[in-house]
Amino acid sequence: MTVGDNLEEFYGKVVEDFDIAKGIEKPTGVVYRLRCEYDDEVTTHDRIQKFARDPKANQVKALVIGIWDFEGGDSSEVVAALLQNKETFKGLEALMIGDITGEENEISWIEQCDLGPLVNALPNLEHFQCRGGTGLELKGIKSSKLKTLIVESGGLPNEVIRDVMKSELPNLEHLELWLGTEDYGFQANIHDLRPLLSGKNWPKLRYLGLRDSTIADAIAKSFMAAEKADVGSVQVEGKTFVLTGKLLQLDRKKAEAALEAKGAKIGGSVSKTTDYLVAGEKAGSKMEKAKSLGIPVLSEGDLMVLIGGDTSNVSDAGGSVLDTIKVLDLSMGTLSDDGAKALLNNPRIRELDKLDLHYHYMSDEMMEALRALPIQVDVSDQQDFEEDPEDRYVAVSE
Amino acid sequence: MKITIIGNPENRRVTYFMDAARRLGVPTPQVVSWLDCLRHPSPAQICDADLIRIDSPGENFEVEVELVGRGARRQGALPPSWTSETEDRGSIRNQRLWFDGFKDILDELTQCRGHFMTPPSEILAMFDKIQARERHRNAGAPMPGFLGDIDAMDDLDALAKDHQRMFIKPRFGSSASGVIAFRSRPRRQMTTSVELQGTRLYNSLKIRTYIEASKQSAIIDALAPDGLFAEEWIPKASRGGAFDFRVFVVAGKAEHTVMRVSQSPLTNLHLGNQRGDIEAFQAAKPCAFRAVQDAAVIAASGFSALTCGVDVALEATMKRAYVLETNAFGDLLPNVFIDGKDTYTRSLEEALKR
Repeated sequence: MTVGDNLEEFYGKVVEDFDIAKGIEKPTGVVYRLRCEYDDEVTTHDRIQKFARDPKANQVKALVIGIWDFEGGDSSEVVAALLQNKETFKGLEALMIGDITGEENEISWIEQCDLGPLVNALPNLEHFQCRGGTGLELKGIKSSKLKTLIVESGGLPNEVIRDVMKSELPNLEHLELWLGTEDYGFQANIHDLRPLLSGKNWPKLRYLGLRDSTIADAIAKSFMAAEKADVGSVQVEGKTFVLTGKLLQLDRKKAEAALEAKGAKIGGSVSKTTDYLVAGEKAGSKMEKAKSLGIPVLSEGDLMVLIGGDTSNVSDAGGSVLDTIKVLDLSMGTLSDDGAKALLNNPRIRELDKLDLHYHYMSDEMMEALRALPIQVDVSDQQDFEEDPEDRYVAVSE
Repeated sequence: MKITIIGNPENRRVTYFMDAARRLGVPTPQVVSWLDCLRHPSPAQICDADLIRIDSPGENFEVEVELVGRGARRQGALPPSWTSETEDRGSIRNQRLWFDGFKDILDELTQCRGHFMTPPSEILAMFDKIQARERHRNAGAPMPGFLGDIDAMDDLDALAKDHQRMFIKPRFGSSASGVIAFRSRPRRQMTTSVELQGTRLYNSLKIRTYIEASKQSAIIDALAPDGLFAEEWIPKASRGGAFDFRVFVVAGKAEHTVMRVSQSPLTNLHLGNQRGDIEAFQAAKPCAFRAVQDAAVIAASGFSALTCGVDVALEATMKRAYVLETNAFGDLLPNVFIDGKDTYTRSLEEALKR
């Protein structure tokens, strides 16, 4: 399926197409959308220039950019026009680049460019939203104002996910990524997403949306907490330790040597004979394995306690975005009973305000069980859950 | 006052017209079946009346056989062998021969003495989509741009180089039959209600997207000989899905209007799409609604017909309306009333004034 409708509302105001003949009549009363039109020769970047020249342009707080090219050109001219007028637009608090329906241009065919410079050029931007993953980059985003970041795509490239993870957004409250499908550019697996799920990057995050995803089940399962070992009762001698992930304070070789000096064995992979997993940053498949086998997990901090060292600068491993968020949104994806079970059995999910799972492939029984949770749960728009998993589609891809 | 309706008596279109006559208290119209009409040596004789309504010959296999056979004879060809075939419901075939047969019988009917609600020549002009485009253009109706004829896959390949999206339409198809929404990116795909079974095509209620080149070629190869052309794909306005309108125009006035909302590029109501809330739309977007009705009236003015059903789309910004098609039998809009009157009642009422 494709995106059905244009925005009717944005940043709390009604969206209206900008009419060059009329000019800006209500700079703060409505939100103007600038886009090219069928049978009309005025391009979107021309419209931006004309809009910026209007004496009221600098009063505008929110702006929507719609389709810029019916034949598939990228957004660079649009971005250039906005950047060229960044002085005029410096009061912008909200910006959407790509309010484009499937009738205008399919989401996977919208060609974006690096939107990072645009975000950085607008000092008062609190809400930034874009649609289309093709060609998209969000390089070097750094803003202490930005509270909302929404990236809608039919397939989000790994590079963009990395850009988002590297962004410096200390006040981000709402992060929403439409991950999409492999057919249209999504390549990540659950391990690539792990830094996003650790909750470290965005201390003020209240809403996390990993929507429209073919790996919704894996995401749901990844919230399952690891078996946290109590460092006070850990016995080192004779036990098998496996170290994984990046250690921030310790040198891995030296840490392993220190454990061995205390009589521990060091294992290369997690198995039933593993006693403890020490997980550093970005712990991946070994962490998953440890969770599934119920093997206790130690943080780098724990390890430092065990081998003796300064632990003041180390945060706990296995931190979770669930520590900060109040709303988890895994809607529009292929979530099935498999992933939903992990949510249901995860006590931390019950501490959220809202769990949004609409458009899903769960059974009636699972929906019933989730509805019984003591929080707000949206399980509307059930898809045919008996469908072969191969034939399950996310809500928006093409 | 003698009224005749030529139609397929079992079809609800005829029933609705008879109901309208009863409601208006006019003498019961004489029903001449298409089958009788097609098999009669001088059809004008049995159809004669003061007022004649020609209705759709569709949805009847025997009539289809007669029309295609007639078309084949007109072309000097032998009746096609398929007449011995089974009905093969939904099969898309012989669109050209069907039209030739239809043209032949309509030409004969011009000899009728009475007054036609919509004259045969006008019905034909609406049925032939190329001719209809010409009529629309002469009337000044805005339309999607014409891109070119498609006689073979090569033509489509050439067009696809310059156009990333287009609508491909059979010249003589009715409603959405054989219409294809074509995209060349992100990959080449065709979205259509056509169902390909081997080399045969069927009308389906399900919308399919064909990605394999071999299937795409098979569909084009099957449709092209009967006439196929490409039009620009207007980015339609959306509200809960893309939508367009069917506007019933009677005596130069836009009346019964239905909004067709679809999750696919094909908005035809037969394809299981929903009707939108026309009153709510009219209230929210009065200018856009007026543009739709105006476009329909302009399109209708290109034909000397008492009634027609015009399909109109708004482009995404809803500033401009475009005529997609004009349908001679586009008045089948059950349960839509204006002042308590359906399209059939309004048609007859206006016809009686003349």
